[in-house]
Amino acid sequence: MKRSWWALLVIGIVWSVLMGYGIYAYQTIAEPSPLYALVPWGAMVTGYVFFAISSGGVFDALAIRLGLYCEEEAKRVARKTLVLALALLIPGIVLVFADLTHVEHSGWIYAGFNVTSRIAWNGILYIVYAAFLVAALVYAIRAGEERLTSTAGRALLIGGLLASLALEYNLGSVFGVNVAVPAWFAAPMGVLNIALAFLLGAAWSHIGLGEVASTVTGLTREEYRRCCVKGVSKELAGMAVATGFMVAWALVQMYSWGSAHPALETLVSGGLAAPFWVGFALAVPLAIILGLYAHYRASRTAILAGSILTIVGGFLLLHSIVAAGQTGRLAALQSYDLLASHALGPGGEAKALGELMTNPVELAAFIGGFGLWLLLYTLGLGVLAVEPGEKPRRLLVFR
Amino acid sequence: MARAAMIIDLNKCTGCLACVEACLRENVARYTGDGRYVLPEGNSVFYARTKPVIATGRNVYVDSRMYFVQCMHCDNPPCALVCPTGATYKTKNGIVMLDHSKCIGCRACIIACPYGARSLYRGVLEGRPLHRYALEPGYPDKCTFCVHRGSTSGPAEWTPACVEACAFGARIFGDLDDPSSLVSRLVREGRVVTLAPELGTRPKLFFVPPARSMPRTRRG
Repeated sequence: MKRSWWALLVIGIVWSVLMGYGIYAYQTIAEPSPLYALVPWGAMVTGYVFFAISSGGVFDALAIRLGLYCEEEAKRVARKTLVLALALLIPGIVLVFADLTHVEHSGWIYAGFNVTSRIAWNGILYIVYAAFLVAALVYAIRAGEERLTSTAGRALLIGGLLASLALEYNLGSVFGVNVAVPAWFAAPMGVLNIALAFLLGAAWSHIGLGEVASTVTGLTREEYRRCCVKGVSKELAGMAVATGFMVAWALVQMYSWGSAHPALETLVSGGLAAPFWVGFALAVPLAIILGLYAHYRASRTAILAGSILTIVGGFLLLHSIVAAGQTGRLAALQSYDLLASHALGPGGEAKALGELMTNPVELAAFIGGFGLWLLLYTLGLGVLAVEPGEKPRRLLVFR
Repeated sequence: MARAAMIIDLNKCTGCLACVEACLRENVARYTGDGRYVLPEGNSVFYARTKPVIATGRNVYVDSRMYFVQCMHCDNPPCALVCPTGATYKTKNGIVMLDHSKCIGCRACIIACPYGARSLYRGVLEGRPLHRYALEPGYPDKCTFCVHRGSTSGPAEWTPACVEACAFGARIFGDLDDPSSLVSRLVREGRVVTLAPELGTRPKLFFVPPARSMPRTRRG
């Protein structure tokens, strides 16, 4: 193994400890606060949506390139891309379970399946998507990436694409189906999530393949530049346009519906304006500019900068919208307003915002998720047969 | 089929909060075994299943400054709609309940309730709960109409703790489907209102608004 592989592995392990600490601290919280009822969905909820759609975005782009268009160039990075998608999905699933206050009952999601619940459908869609993803990875390693454009390979990729799109839409719609929360709308949130998934997928593809894989595997930077920089940068710029459009649509809907005004004000000019606009600037105009620049100049620096800024901006944008939906109802629904003012005293909304944006335990779990991704991805690149044409020697898929 | 319902008459309510205290004693407090009862840390009233709220202006629905936030036992409960495991469900007699053994703690029900009726206590409570439907830390707690005093399928013939504690008869509990019950009669006569009826949740917690507002309420 290369020294850089070991270095990234150690960084991943150390960084993952942060996630372990965050989850442990969250699960053992013994601090009573009305905030747990008034604004119950914090950074861990946004965090699992973020990792799940990032994984979906990485997979979707590959599935479209290979499953629909049979692009030869995409085959060279197919195995590594599938490992990347899986390494991103796992922190998301870990955060899903870590966020539950009674994880020991989670089997009831399947045993007591409620068809009207979006969260219950998430439980199904996670499994279906993960099954297609793992099957496609095993198939690519066992049969070779050439076979991914065969009928069976394309079926796996397109099946996974459909499951992934459904998961991305459904994750967004969880925020939009109920009557209680002004500012969360089913249709825009679902479609926004899909646009954001492709945007984040492009960013993660560059980080995963162009930076990590080209450092620790046989994929050279030049090879990556030839096969992928133009496609990834085009996807980054294009999906940033789509994301910007969807955010604008969501804002217009909030403006048109009176009870959503408090959330709109919080987002555009209130307590969430800073993270919202910074997130928007990073994930939309800057991603467009850097994506286009990288596309026309084949610039690695530009696509690297665009990818990092998109990942930061994408999370800020998503979390701002998730937070605004919750703080918005404190002002829009009188019962909540009164409960918040009685339970939290003056400045209740600021306390609620502080809880949602800066809770150290939830942030530690989410930020630690990047460490778990790095650990799993590096490990996957090291121990799985991921080089083009490589035959597995041990246990179906290992080197 | 029975449909349990409650009416809070804001003409008779003096704001003494005996109902809140009774609720805390019945559903929230725990017995430690050494003669002590303990309540949640912090603002215990926030964890009562009937929470008093005082608005700076008048509530547009009940036309009163003071009213109560508690589970409305909706006919179309949004919390049951979003619950992934069926832990939140409606009993045969229309009471919205939480099955602790199925709840995963995703808090979707807290998000979905438009009335702010569910609260989550994440502190530690020593001692044992006083009955099987009492508050448990880490679960989205809610009013059960004190169903442990009666049954989840039979007629609504028991008396919830808050109703029992009200010295002024401001709280009335009964069966909405029994034409002879007071609850049913007051609802039939149009003397009651609900919070946010436009949401389509069809609450079964009703308020009788203060008398001065009655003509306007009837016309509405």
